[in-house]
Amino acid sequence: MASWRRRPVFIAGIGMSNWGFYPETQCSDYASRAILAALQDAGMFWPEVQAAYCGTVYQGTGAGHRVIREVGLTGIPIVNVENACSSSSAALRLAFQQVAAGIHDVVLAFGIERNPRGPIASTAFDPWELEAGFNFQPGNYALEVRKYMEEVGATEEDISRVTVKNRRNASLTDFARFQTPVTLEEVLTSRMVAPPLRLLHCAPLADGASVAVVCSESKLASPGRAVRIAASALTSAIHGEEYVPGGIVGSVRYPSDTNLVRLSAQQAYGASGYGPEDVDVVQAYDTVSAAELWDLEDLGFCGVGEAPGLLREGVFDLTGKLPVNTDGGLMGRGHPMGATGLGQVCELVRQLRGEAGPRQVAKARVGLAHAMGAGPNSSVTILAR
Amino acid sequence: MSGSERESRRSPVREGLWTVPADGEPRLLGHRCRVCGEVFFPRRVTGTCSRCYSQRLDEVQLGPLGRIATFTAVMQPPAGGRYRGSVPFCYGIVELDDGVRVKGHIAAAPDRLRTGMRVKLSIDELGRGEADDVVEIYRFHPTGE
Repeated sequence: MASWRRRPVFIAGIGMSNWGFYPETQCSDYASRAILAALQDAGMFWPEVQAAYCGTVYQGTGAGHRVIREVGLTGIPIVNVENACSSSSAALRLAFQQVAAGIHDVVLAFGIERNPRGPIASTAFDPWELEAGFNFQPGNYALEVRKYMEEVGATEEDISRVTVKNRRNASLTDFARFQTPVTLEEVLTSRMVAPPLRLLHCAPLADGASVAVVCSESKLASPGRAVRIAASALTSAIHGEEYVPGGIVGSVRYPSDTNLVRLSAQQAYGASGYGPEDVDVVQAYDTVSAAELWDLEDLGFCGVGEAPGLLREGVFDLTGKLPVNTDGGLMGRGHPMGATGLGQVCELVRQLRGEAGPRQVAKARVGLAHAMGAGPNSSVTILAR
Repeated sequence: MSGSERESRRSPVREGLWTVPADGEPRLLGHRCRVCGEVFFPRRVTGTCSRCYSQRLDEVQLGPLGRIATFTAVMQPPAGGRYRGSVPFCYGIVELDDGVRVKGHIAAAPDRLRTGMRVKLSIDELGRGEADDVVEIYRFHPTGE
């Protein structure tokens, strides 16, 4: 770790749009309103913000500047951050580092997305891989899901129960894209997308914005509602590991005994002083339902192959020992790529403040969020009250 | 150009992915590190081993036999509009006997595939290119063993 003394860093306020589809609306409209909501939540005004980081995948050059133009023009540095589906987690990490290092006292981190209509040429794969059809992410995930199911003996019912839980949580979440629960039967009979994955095993896209006002202790208007950023880790691929959605195929001769998710979790636990046993609530990366299961294992909450059984027992339910994806996760809330990571963080802040309403987890003090994306990259954020 | 000449024009989806040696059996073109033995497909652009960072990579021919490590079927056209083939199509990860894992198309209906199944490499038509040429790709066929 770095040798400099880090200052404690806090999230003073959060703001979000509802997550859905807004074909008639500009991204800058709902994102700028979310920034104002976050400032109000923090008890701050725009001139106090000294720098801003905007996470986005598809909004293009100057996207964050365009949003902030609707809020105020104060000459601050604004940087647009693209790191695939954890872009806003990476934006939060940069804001965290600026405050921790004492460079700034108040920094805005936000994530925005409005899904482009029509074909999107992915830059995360080689051009010939696009021509070969290797960029179909539900298919790439399906390759991982089949390996996981065969390795640990997980069934179709096991991976479908993740969707049922997350859609149930989403039905208690007013900003979620999906407001209705689904039954196990509905998941198991939904359209096949890429076997073994069906439509209701795959997270739906969404438009949305998410914001966090990050600051030093001295800037907190209401310290009682502040949540501390205990750690923010970011990793990329390790030679030998296999993660097909991230475009990497494993080594036969030198398979890795760890992976980028485990590495990011270890770094976050190490930096925060917390371990998995201290975490009260988790926002996992359920871009496909089965991914939540191996995610919980890679994040150290249980052993390999144990997540399906624990899910069946209700451990990951809102009333369970370790509630996971309390707002419905990507599966229920929707997946506005650049806004997803900070959306997870916003939900943790609500939970740790005790402001999560009908889905409030009892006595939540420490929360962990995990987002990852093409590259591949993996972000783990740990928050504490 | 006559119609038959146009039909005969064939181009690989990318140059340098495979070769067809004198025995007529196509092989994939990879790199093997002379220092640590790691095997790569496709060949490394930088000529550098990403495991031990040596620059002593030998070009090797890989295949044609391997086993299916995982597979799926794509039921709808992939996003982006760049895919040249038809749907549905099967693809997966194949572990070649040479000790390298390769992402590739598999020529079979998904309900007939199993992990561990033996497959053999061939060069097949993927679809049509921009100049109406036949775009070719390497593809794995179950051997029935």
